[in-house]
Amino acid sequence: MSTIRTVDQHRDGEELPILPPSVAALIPLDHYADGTTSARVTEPRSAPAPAPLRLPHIATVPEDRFFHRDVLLADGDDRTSLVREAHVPDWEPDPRSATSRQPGEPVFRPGRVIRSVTPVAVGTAVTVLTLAIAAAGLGLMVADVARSAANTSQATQDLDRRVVALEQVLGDRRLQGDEQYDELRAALTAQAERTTGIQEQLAANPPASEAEVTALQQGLQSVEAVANRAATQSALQAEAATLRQEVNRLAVQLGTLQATVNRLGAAAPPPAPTPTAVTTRVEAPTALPSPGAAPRGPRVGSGTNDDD
Amino acid sequence: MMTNMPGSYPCCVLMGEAALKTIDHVVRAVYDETGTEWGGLLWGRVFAHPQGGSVPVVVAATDGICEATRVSCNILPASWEAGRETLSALGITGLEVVGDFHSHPRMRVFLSAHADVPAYWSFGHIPHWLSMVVDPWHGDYGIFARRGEQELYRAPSSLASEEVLRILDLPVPARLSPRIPSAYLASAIHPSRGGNHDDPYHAHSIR
Repeated sequence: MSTIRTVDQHRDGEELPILPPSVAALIPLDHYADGTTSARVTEPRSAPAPAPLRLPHIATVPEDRFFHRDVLLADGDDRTSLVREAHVPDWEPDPRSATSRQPGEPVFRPGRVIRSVTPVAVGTAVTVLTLAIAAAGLGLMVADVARSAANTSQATQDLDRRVVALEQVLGDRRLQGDEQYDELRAALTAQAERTTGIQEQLAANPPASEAEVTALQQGLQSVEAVANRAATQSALQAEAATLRQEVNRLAVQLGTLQATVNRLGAAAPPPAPTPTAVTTRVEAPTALPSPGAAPRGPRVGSGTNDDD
Repeated sequence: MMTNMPGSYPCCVLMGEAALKTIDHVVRAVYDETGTEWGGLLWGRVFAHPQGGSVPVVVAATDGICEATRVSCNILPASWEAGRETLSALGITGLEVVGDFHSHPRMRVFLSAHADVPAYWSFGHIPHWLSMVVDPWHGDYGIFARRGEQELYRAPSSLASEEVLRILDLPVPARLSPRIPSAYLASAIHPSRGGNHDDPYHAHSIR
């Protein structure tokens, strides 16, 4: 549905007449305090239990074939998806409306918008890259252990912190994924209902023209778009699981390395006194070596001039 | 709930039976005739609730001039003037457009992300604007409104009796708004086809 507004509908700033108390007191808003409707979001947790309807004039509907009060009041949990769907920011300002927002002007509250998949994918790729860097650094560490058990101990601690950081990143990714999953599932539910409706229409009254078929196809495109987003979400979750396995594998490798360090440390003679002016320490590389480049050994830096 | 409703966003909606029955009749008639969605306008007045928020009261609904398919419905600008003429012919004055309605035949009630939500936000400057979606075949009627600067929700809705409308000093329709004849619709969308502009309401009267 789309509509084109006319110019006489602007009412910003207009003072509204106050609803007479005799009517305001009868509006059964308490009916929505039971947490079963979309109004729950604005209700405090301690909202009172639903009160009996007190407005016979509003609440009572003649028993005819048209409507029943519950029909209009019906606003069950399954409709919360509608509220969620309303946040999908895929609209464009209507150029015919003088008060439409300008292109580029933010419309939806940040954080309420279904986030684009791309930044998540990029973030995931960065995480994978970081893991690879950590793994490469770990490989270098194995060679370093034989030469300097004491320095490797420091490196393993660094790696330990890195794994913890990766765990944190992974947790954040998963939280983000959960939010997207909920939103997409709600949207998918709504679109599935629409699909069912379209199917019923097709069964009851097949399209008679190419234009009708085209219109139906356009209606189904929105369903397909949601399904695609849901599929992407699934892919992201699978990727997150893979990342988790990689972190676990790295943790195991780290434990093995730590055991080696301990063993070497027990067998090696006491280390010579370390010069105070210049110390040698080992760092994980901060970037992957370029193809064909010579392997990077331990980096040497000054203990007092740490600018490398 | 109402105390948390900011500004003049609707905390609930009241709807007269005549409006609801008109909507039901119009969308059923169009679907029986053409198998498409259909829409129109909601007319009424907006009140401020003493505890916060606004209360749009829908008194009447008028048939729209629409371009519709089985899964879409464009309510054209001519609907405003046609609706005003319809109410005038019924002797109803003093109402304003408070929202629109359209049907989702056998598709349940929701605002579609690709069409309905953008259409709603084209009226985003009107705090109390309502968008009603109906699917009488599933007994589903929903009214959507803003409850925040950029947030929509399905507003609590109740039927208002004639007595309530009188307390609010609102007109009580003596009969339902009629369907706009098909010939008039065709001429409104495609003026070259001609149509009966003199008496667009003589036919399809409900009562």
